[in-house]
Amino acid sequence: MKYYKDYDLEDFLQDDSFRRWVAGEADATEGLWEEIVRLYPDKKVIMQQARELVLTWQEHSAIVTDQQLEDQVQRILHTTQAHTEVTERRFAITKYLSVAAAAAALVSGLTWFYFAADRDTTRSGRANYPAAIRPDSKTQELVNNLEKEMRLRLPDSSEVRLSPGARITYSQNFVHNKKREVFLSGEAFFDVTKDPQNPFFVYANGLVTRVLGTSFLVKATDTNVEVLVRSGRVSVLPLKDIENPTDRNTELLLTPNQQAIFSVKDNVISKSITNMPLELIKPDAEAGFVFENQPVSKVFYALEKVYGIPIVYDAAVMEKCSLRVELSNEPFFTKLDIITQTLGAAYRVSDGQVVISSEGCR
Amino acid sequence: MEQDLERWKKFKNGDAAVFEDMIRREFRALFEYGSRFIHDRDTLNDCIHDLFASLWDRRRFLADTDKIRPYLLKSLRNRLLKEIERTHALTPFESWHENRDAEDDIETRLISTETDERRKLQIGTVLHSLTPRQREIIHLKFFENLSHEQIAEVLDISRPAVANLLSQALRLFRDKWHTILPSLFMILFY
Repeated sequence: MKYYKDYDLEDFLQDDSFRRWVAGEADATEGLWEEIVRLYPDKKVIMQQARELVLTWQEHSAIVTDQQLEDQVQRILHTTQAHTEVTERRFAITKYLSVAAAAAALVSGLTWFYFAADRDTTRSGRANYPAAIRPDSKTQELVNNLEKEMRLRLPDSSEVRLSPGARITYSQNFVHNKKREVFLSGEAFFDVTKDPQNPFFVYANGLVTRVLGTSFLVKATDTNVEVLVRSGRVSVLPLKDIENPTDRNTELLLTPNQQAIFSVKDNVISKSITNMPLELIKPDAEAGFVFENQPVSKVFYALEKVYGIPIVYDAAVMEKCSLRVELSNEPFFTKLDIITQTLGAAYRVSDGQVVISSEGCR
Repeated sequence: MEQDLERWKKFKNGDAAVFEDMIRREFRALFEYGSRFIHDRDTLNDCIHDLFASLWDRRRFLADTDKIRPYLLKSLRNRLLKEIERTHALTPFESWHENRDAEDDIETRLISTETDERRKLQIGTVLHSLTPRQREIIHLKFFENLSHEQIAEVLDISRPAVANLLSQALRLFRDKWHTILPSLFMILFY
């Protein structure tokens, strides 16, 4: 026992038996630590410190309430149960499809609106979706044959602005398997109601867009699918990878003012910046974008903050660069032009970021 | 540990009840550990969800393990690192909100949970000065009570490296601690 005499704080902390004692777990060494306090009174303070530290660390916990735990358990079980059932259900649905009949009704003006059994799956591009993510046979489909944008509200009160010629399909039973799913061809802007328990999925020509609650635009043509984010965060991945949860390397996360372009032919997603980035927050009320001989780092920081677009530059090289510039309502890229031209620098857009190249300033 | 092996085998055979029980037992520990990497609860929930979903899908091909907790911690860790790497380009953006909030959060929580606010704040300051790596290793030791071998397995480093990292972190602790706290503890004790 004599080596305890040389124990320092970290020795106590690393001693498994000591930590069990602190945690109040009964142990073979019960009494040992009390004994040590008695034998080496000078260790008392250190032991108390070690005890406090362990307790503090254990106390600092990310609290998961019982309800949250239950929600998450159910969510996982839903997914895994769905996966187990895929094989049986796929067979059933194929059979069902072959007897499905179309029932169409002309509702208003030039707009088709109908409940139908899974009709016309090739035209809306759903034929290739795996059974597990195909909506129920009872679906609603809406085609905008008008010449102007059409607004509609989904059952979860999310708003969709459907462009002319676009088609949207969703299950009557809107929240299913803890997912909200819509199928899109053409262009639509989504303003999705936040509901983290039931993520919102947009399937468009081989691309899956997944969000919790946000606004974004999806533009699906035969060759490309574009996703532009207005607010919140959105993740996109090729449909072919959705049933492969172990390898989600192809999944891309988009933040406001970023856009993804998905090539249908190559099944590849690339990330860029929207043509006309919007201000996400208002610039500082007093200073705005007026900089009086400020270091570039400050200017870039202000831009990043307002537009949410990462700006990458070599801080060491540009350390001596400072700037006197007055900007106001110019579009993002005009602002960048002005700044880089003033500095004699250049920029390019790569992977959703702005990359500045400069040879530095004197 | 024998029990772990038995449960694991049942799970691999498709025993849904054992699987559910495993999620309930392990979820909080995974969340707790994950929250040291990712501060966004939605993303973390998604990662844990994906982890279990993928385990269930691949259950027939998984190797046996008699240490479920370390096995899951390691899998989650790999997933989170991938997630962080993938979203790395966004760090400047996210760091405005999430990281800063989280830092404040640790402190607020530390303060609010105890009556002795001043002491908690001091402890918070010490915890703050640790690197993420050091916090991680201290978490695995103090919170999960893992052995050096198990930590080595989770972090995918050698056992001596674990011992080394841990003692580094703890020495740092001691140094900071000694300069900040003695007076406080004197008051507590005498």
